[in-house]
Amino acid sequence: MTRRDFLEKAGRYGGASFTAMTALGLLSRATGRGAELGGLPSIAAGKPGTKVVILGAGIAGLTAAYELGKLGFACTVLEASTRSGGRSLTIRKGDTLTDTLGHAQTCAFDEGHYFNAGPARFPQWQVTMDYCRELGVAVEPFINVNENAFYYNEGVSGPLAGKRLRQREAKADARGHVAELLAKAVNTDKLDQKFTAEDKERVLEFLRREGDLNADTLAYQGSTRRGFKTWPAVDTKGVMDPAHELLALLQANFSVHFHRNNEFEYQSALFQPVGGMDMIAKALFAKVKTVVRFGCAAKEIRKTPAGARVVYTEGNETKEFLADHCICTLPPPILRTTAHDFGAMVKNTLNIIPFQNSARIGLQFKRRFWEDDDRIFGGISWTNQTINEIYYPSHGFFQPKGLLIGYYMFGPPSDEVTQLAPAARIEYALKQGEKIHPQYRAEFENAFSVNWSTVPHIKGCLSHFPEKLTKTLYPFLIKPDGNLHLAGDWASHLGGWQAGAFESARHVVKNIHAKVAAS
Amino acid sequence: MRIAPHRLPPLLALIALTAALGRSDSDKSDQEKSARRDAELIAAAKDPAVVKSGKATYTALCLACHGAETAQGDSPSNLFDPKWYHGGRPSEIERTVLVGFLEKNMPPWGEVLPPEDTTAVVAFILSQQK
Repeated sequence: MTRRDFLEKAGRYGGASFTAMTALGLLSRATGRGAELGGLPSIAAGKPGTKVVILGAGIAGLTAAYELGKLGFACTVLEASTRSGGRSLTIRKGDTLTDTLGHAQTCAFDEGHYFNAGPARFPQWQVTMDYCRELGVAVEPFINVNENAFYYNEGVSGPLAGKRLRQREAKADARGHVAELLAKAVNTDKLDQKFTAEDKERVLEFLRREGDLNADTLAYQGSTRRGFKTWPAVDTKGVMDPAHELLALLQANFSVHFHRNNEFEYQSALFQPVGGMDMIAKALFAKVKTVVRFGCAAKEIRKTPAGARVVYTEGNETKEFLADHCICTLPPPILRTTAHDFGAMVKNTLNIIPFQNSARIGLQFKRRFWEDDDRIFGGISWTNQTINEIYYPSHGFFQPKGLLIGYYMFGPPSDEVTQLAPAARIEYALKQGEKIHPQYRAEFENAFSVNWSTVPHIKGCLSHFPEKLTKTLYPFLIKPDGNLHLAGDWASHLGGWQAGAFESARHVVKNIHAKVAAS
Repeated sequence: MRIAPHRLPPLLALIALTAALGRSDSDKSDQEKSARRDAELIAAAKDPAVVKSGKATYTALCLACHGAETAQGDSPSNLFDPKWYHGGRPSEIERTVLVGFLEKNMPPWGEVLPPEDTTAVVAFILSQQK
């Protein structure tokens, strides 16, 4: 009798099984915000051999296999490529990629350096954190906001056009000026709302703190919050530059960057797995590796009276797999071109999912000049150039070499670089990036770039399901169609996040468990 | 790539017109239908209410892949630069919206959107041409 069997049998009499199993780590501790799987009984005893075929060994497919395995299902994962993880892709020395346009790259990074081409971070509230704990994946803080990193906007008007600013300068000055405007309006009763004298003082006190205003005049005259030209030490209390004018900040349009860190998903604290994002996929794979088959590309997904039938190719052979249920995690661009028996509305829904492209490049430099020269340890610089952002590593500080993410693009610019040869993509990144870091050309060593719309077997990056269609079409994605099920971040309200893949897989696992338990 | 006839220099336009006149009756009737639709869509692009509604639909369904009106980059997905990869006549833009290019990840919106929405989206795109 296995430990699991013993606990299950004991649990039937004593009811203590769930607690005991959780304590022993046999059941999922990952709770998520959606489907609760903890406490579901195993179906193994009553219905042995319930077979589930899972298409795709990305996060959704691996999670489904892992969670269903815990519940006693017999899973088989068919993966078209030769690796697991899907878009959770970390590039290291020696890795290769030939895209669907025929551009081939081999990674020449030094040992120990890596580039997360897909997901690179997750906020503390997402279920990804729970899976890291459950799977024993070490995490470390991901520095998403660094006030010492830069803003650089060009082609705008005013004195700040084409100048790089430390983020804190723009933020503290904008905040101060706006607080001053509001304070003066409140103080002269120029707001619609009438305040009592006491309330007025409360509002003013808030604005004094909010903008670091002069206590008496309510003027914003600069603030240590915007940083120093010469940093404070023993012999100086620090030398400050004058504040930027509000109009100059507005003309430079820096406010487009402010909100990026205010969004719920990007609020502190964020984390990353130590050693690369694919550590999560690797840990999941280790749990289910005996049921994953690589090089198996689905060609047909069919309903049968009793379950599901998948036709797939393995090498030159065409084969068939019969199962009770099929979970399809193929990305929409792949699924759209695969013969399937999903209903007409599911097909329509799959067709309109905007599975958009994105492009990223990892640039290796001989020297960590952003740390040595610019004192930027982690975080992101933002620009209105098409490269959008430059990520500094949140790990490996003080190492002799380092790796930046040199662009992270969506929409037409990402489609444009997708057509370029790898060398031209490097030039694209250097040409724009050197405006923020003039050290770029002298220190550059090598690069690796990924354009998701041309990655074989994936052909796209992410999807945020259109809000306008969430009531009409989205329900078709998350509802079982007979014994066929869809899973993936794009079939959740967490599009583009690994957490969406975890949550979606858990949702499907719960549906299948309920159906099998009821039959 | 097909060049939009209304952007053709006059001499080339004359040649195109002559070629069109030599076609069969059904070609001619298709041609007339397209020309009529072009005119309707150009008129819609001048109606602020239609453009406003089109912008809302564009923001909800198209923006993620095609970017804002300020989009940069030479790519079929850039709808706001002068270059069209799949036909730049208003009726051709509308056809692309309706039938899509699934192999390039462009959905066939005609299957799920009411005609007034696709018209409005095209009107919005036309209204933003530089």
